[in-house]
Order: sequence, then structure tokens, then C-alpha cells
Amino acid sequence: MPGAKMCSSPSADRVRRLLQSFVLSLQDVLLLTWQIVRALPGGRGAGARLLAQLDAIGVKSVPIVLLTGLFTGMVLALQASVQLAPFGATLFVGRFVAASMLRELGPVLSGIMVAGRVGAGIAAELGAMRVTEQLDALETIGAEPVRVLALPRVLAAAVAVPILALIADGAGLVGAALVSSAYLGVPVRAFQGAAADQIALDGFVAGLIPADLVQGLVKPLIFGVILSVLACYHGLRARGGTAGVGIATTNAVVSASITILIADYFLTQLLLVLV
Amino acid sequence: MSVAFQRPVLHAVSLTVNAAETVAILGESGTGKSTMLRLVLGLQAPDAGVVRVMGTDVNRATHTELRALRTTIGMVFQGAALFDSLTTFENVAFALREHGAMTNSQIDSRVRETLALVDLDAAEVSQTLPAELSGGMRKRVGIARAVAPRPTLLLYDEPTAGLDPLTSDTVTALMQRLQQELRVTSVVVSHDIRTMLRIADRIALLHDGEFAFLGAPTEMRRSAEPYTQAFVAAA
Repeated sequence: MPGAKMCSSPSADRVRRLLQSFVLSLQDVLLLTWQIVRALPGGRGAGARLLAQLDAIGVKSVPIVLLTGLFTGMVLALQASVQLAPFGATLFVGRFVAASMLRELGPVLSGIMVAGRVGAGIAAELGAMRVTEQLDALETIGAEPVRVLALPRVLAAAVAVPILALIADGAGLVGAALVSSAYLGVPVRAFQGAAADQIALDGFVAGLIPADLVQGLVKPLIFGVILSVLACYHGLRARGGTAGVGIATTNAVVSASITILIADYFLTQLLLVLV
Repeated sequence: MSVAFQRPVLHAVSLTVNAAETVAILGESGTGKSTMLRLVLGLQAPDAGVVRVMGTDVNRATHTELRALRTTIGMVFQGAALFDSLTTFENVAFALREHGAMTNSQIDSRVRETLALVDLDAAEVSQTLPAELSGGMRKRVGIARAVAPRPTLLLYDEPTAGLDPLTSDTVTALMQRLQQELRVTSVVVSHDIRTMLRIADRIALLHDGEFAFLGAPTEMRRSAEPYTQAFVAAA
């Protein structure tokens, strides 16, 4: 109708703005990921920068991942026993814990714990560098922040998180074995046997690598990339002084944790088909 | 060139800086002085116009050309912008390592020589972190980092802001000495008119997005332009 105006409610406007903002952010994150890939192999000093980040992201995260894995395994053993005891099947606790830890809890908990510890650290560090003009200083020297700062952090997270997930898996199995032995009357050797049976039951890739292990390594590798790229993204675009750094840090942890959980669902679907 | 954010900041501003000349850009806070330096470095693009540095059109330059150009420019930031996680030595050596044209021993001697140039004792400050330095020392390390690769063009953003009068005089004397010893072209952004009248060959005074005055310090003192008169009188 000529002269008619398109009207929309305030809530529809808000939803449209939110969607626009989400699509723009997604575009920026994908662009940053592409810039990180293009920055490979990283130029002079790339090896030293990667080693420093492997220490900061990987080695320094071992205690937190170890504790998380240990207590998660212990709780899993107790919960499994409650479900299995009525059927006289407490011997199968090892199977329950092995499948849960290797396929899901090890990778997801490591990803979320590292997102909290390292993602927050990366966003805060890069955000502080942004608001104190250190990133501008890097650019004026001819050192692109993506190559010098983001690339080593993303590479280190991609390498470290799968290793941390394996550590969490191991700690979880040890914790569950201890609880099973101490409270459920399942000997450690029987627990071990049940866990090994479960791994064998889930099959092998190329007849050699346990399928559980493949899932348990592919997922944390992708979680490592997700958490580090999102942390770099929020840190590099921090604005507005120390308050901006705080916002960037919160956004990095929240967005990485949520994205890891969403990605976990789709990865599980994909890996169940492929592996 | 012209630049606008929420409102126009620079409007049809034109300035040519000659080799080995020191030009000061003065103006009140928020007049776009620091934006001009960001335009020169290609950290920001103008909405209209051209920024040409040593023959290179900064906004049309390829990534490689811009990177090469930036290796010939030194920038002294208002808050020094030293890399917090690196020692003083590593801060000054950073550009030298990044440009990759020097051996470790050459870098070592260049850093010591440059720290001496800004009146810092290498043995004393080399291993200190920026957080352990005083404001004046941080500023001097920032200058050392900018001049270590021996740039052709040196940009200063408020070099004396936030310093006490004595330290401010020391930094000003240091800038004069660097001009004489390195014969570097300098563009200094400041609101400190007293200091700029002493050290600049020419002064550009920004007001309402345009140059209210552009000329030698002696001409500035005699200018009949009302805003320039008021700015000089306030010094």
C-alpha cells in the first residue's frame, strides 16, 4: 500500500538486533580464525612463543584438570553404584566410568576448565594490551598481533587441551577405581578389567586405536581451538579501559563454555557416525 | 584528509612534513591530534583524502608495503605502551628482532647504545619489567624502543603528558638531542605549547577539525588569528 509504514514491535526489533549482532560476531570470529590460519607458520620467534604458551596453557593447567578429573571419576563411581547395585551389577562400574570419562566428561570438563582458567587469562591479557596501546605498538613495529599473540595461543591450546583431557581421563579412572575398591567392594583389578572391556566393546579405528580414545582426542582438540579463538577475539576487540577488559574476560569464558557444550552435541553426533 | 567518528574530527586537513624537520601538532583534547598519528601509521583510514609517507600511499599500500613502511617509523606512545611481560632490554630489542636484519650480538650492542642515548644505564635497567620503572623512565624506554631501529620518521604522542616539570624538561632535552644526533624527521603531538615553541621547526594548531595556524614558532607568537592568540596567551 503506497505510503504505508512497516511497523514492528519493540521486542521484534530487539530480536532482530540480537540476531544481527550474533551474525556479525560470528563473521568476525571466522575472519579471525582465517587470519590465524594465514599467519602460519608464525615467523621469527614462533617456536619460542609456542613453547611459552604450551607452558602457560598446558603445564600450568595440569593441577586443575587433574583435580577435576579425579573427583568427577569418584562421583561417577558412587552414582553408578546407586544405579547398578539393585541389579547386583556393581562390577560394571568400571565400564560405566570408562565410557563416560573417555567419551564425554574428560574432553568437556577439560575444555570448560581450561576455558575458565586460560580463556579468561588470554582475554584479560590481550584486552589490557589493547586498552594500554600495546597492540598498536606491536602493529607500528610491524608485528601483527594475530601472528605474534593469537597464533601461538591457539596452537598451544589445540595441542594442550587433548593432552589435558587424557590426564583428566586417567585421573577420573584412578578416582573411580579407588572409590570402587574402598566403598563398593570392587577390586582395582576387576575395575580395570571392566574398563578395558568397555573400551574394547566400543571398537577400534583401523583395528588399532580405540574409538573411545579417538573421540576423546578429537573433541578436546576442537574445544581447544574454540576456547582460544574466542578468548583472542574478545581480548583483541576490548574497548573502554579496565571495565572493557572485565567485559571481554566474562564474554570470553561464557561464550567459550556455551560453544563447547553446543559443539559437543554436534561432534558427538558426527563422531558416532564416523567412528 | 577528513576523519569522522560520531562527529567530524578532522576536516580537509593538509600538512606536508619535510625531511629532518620537527613539526608539532597542537590543540585541545579531542581535536584529533592523536588521530593524525594513527593515520600516518595506517592504523586508521581517513574518510576522504590521502596520507602519503615517504612516497607510499598508506591506505592503498599492500600488507607487505605497509609492514616495510612501518619499519622506518618509530612511535612514542603517550603512556609508553611498553610490553608488560617483557623486560626493558626485550622491549627495546623487540623491533630489531622482529625486523630480523641483525644478529644477536648486534642487537645486544644496539640496545645498550640506545639505552645510553636516552640516559639509561643498561646494566641497571635491562632486566627490569616496565611495572618496576618510574613514569619518566618508562617514557625514556618508550623513546628508546622507538629509535632503536634508527627510523627515518619519529612520531611522538604527548611525550611530556603526565610528567612532573623536571622530568618533562629532561624528556624535552632528550628529544632535542635525538633530533640533532639522529637527524630524524619528527612529528610531535602535544598540548604543551611552551615546550613545542622551544623545539619545533613548525607548529600546526588544530581547532574545529582544521588548522587555525601553520607556521614557525616565531610567527605563531605574532599571529593575529584570534584562536591562535588565545592559545599562545594561555601558555
